[in-house]
Amino acid sequence: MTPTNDMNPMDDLTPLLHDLIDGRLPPDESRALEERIAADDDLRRRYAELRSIVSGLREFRNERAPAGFSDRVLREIAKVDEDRAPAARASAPLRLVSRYGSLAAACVAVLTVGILLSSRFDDRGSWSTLEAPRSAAEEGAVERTYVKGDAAAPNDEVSARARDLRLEPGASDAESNEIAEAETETKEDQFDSGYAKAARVRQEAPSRPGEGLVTGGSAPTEPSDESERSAGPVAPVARAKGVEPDEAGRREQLESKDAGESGAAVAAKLRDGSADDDDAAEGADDGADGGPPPTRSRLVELLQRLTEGDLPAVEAPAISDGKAEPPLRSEVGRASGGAKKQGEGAPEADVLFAVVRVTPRVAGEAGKAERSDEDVPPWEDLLANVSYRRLNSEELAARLPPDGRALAAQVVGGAADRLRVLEIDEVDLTRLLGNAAAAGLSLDGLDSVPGVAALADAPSPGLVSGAPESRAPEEEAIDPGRVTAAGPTSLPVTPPSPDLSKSKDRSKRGAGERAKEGADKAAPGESQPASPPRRILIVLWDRR
Amino acid sequence: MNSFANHDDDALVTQARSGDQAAFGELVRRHQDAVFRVVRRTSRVDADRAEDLAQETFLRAYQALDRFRGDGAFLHWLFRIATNLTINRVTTVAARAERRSMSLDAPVRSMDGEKPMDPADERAAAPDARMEQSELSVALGEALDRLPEEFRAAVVLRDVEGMEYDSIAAALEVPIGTVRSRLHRGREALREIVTRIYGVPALEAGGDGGVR
Repeated sequence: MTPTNDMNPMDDLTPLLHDLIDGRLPPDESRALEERIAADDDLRRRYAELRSIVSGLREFRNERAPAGFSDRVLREIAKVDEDRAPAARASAPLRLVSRYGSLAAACVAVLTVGILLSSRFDDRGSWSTLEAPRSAAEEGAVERTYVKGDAAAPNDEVSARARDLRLEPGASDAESNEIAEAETETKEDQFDSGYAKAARVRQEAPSRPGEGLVTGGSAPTEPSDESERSAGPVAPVARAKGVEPDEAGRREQLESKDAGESGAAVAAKLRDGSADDDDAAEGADDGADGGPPPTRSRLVELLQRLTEGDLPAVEAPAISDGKAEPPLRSEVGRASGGAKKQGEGAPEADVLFAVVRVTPRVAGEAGKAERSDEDVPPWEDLLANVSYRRLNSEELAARLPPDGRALAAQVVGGAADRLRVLEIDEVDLTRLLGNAAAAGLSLDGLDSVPGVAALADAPSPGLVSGAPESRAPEEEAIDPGRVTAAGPTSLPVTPPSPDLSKSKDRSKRGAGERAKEGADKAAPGESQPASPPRRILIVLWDRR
Repeated sequence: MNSFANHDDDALVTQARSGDQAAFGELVRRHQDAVFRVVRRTSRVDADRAEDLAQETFLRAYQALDRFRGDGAFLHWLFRIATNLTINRVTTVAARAERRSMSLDAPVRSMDGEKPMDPADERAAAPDARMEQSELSVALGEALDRLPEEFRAAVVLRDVEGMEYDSIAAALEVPIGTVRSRLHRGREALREIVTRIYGVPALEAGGDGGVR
């Protein structure tokens, strides 16, 4: 676009000023615009300001990463690799299952359907069971069962071309026979052995004239009894006289040994019940495969056990990459009392421990803010204006039983981005709860710390404060060991303490004084914890 | 002597994919400053937190090396990870709410970051109402923190890191026209903030440093 004198420089030429700065205008347009800038004081001033802005921003290019940054990154990478190696080995079968799970399920389904279907076809491909025709032939008690096809049936022998020999329970199954016939063509080899077997059985069976009619392509005779026709494929079994179903099954099983194990024979074997023991054994083997997959709940369980001192030193946490892990269940994030004496490698007597899951509150829940998953959980949100002491892995380990120390380092080191291990007192815990409420986050598991429920019910000091105003940095520097996250100023914050000297040395004062300070911070009439502010060691767990 | 001196980024990526941590270490050393700057300037966090985020950027890149297709510069891929990380994770609901209601009249912390200041007082306190360029940068840093993250990312990638529009579009996963719009609006907002606080003479004194 070529600027003209009709344009309002402030509105219309501003985009061109940026393009000029970025060198994105064609030479002729650049020249025209520069002439316009030279002739217009306002435009010239705007252009100069923008150039100054861009020039100032380029000064940021002098910023450098902190010293030793790359070494720290490489150490973390090495740690990640170490953590991933055992986890990868442990989860390899799971990955295979997850990757090919649907394919495996489809194969199992196809096999199952195949077995079931084959169990419903007799050896000649008719929709029937295996036992009935054969049993009937053996007993010579077949009623209205017809064999058709190219078969010759002299009185004492049966010879047939197996592929054309068919047994059908009745004329009502004619249609299914047509279908089965077509399928038989493709399963010829599979069924051949069965046909020959059936022929042998018939040869050996004493037949009574008129009961077992063997024809060569003649039309079947309609059964006289309608109920028999409607009985369908299973009717021949019921009609086999003097042969109990399980007995027939046993015979089938015996026969299958010399006839080869077709799918139908295997199915019959399963039906017979003789395979039950093997099947049960296989099921037991399946059940013995593998342990629980490495999940966050496993990690939390380990953290809990750390506090109870019953964790073997050799047990390592399995931390996977977190992408496909199920969310933590709230019931595993609960506090355990640390009422052990210092010096025994146990938590201090007044330090409680809680594993807390940080989650978005349920959308639409009454009185709660809505959050989407992508918002969860910015630590700055939760920790804005909260005084706490963040523990690194060594500090956490120092508070844990000896057996758990090595593990603590792995736990915290391996999940540094998802964990915040904080030592916090009840007063600031109230702020934390307030921040969580304001940010639409839920802290699951914290309420199991004795007394915290009362804190949660009480309004946060930040929430009851007056006008939102950032706490001055000197207030935040409570003591050398404590840090405060500088959060967005729009978050609920705590008003400045009237006496900054108090907060600067808060950790050095007794629990009673801290309790008094906590009471001072709260609004009049609010519920306060009955006991002095306790320090609580919390592990905030990012649920992502 | 650096054994990777003659290796370009693509070669290093290939080696790193095969498990050569030293190769990835060289990539970290080459790009750590740029990644740190982008994280620092797009995330509104302090230097310590920015270091954490920059570290996480490299960790994620390391874990996702197999997904780097090599159809762009490795550094720009890092920028993409970094900006996604900072925009999606660091940005808070409250901060967004604050920015939505951003007012140019709102008090801005002074350069030492300790107390609100009045622009007129600040100008009066300046010895000769002139600022050094470094002071302008500090003011710009404060002003950057006030920008919506989308504008901030575009401004930082273009004016701090000198990326081309198309590379920025790829990093931010937006059309080039959106990059242009965000960049222009971001600069205008910066100009407005800095002008109100430091005054026009300050900006003019800052010079253009040969910007073109």
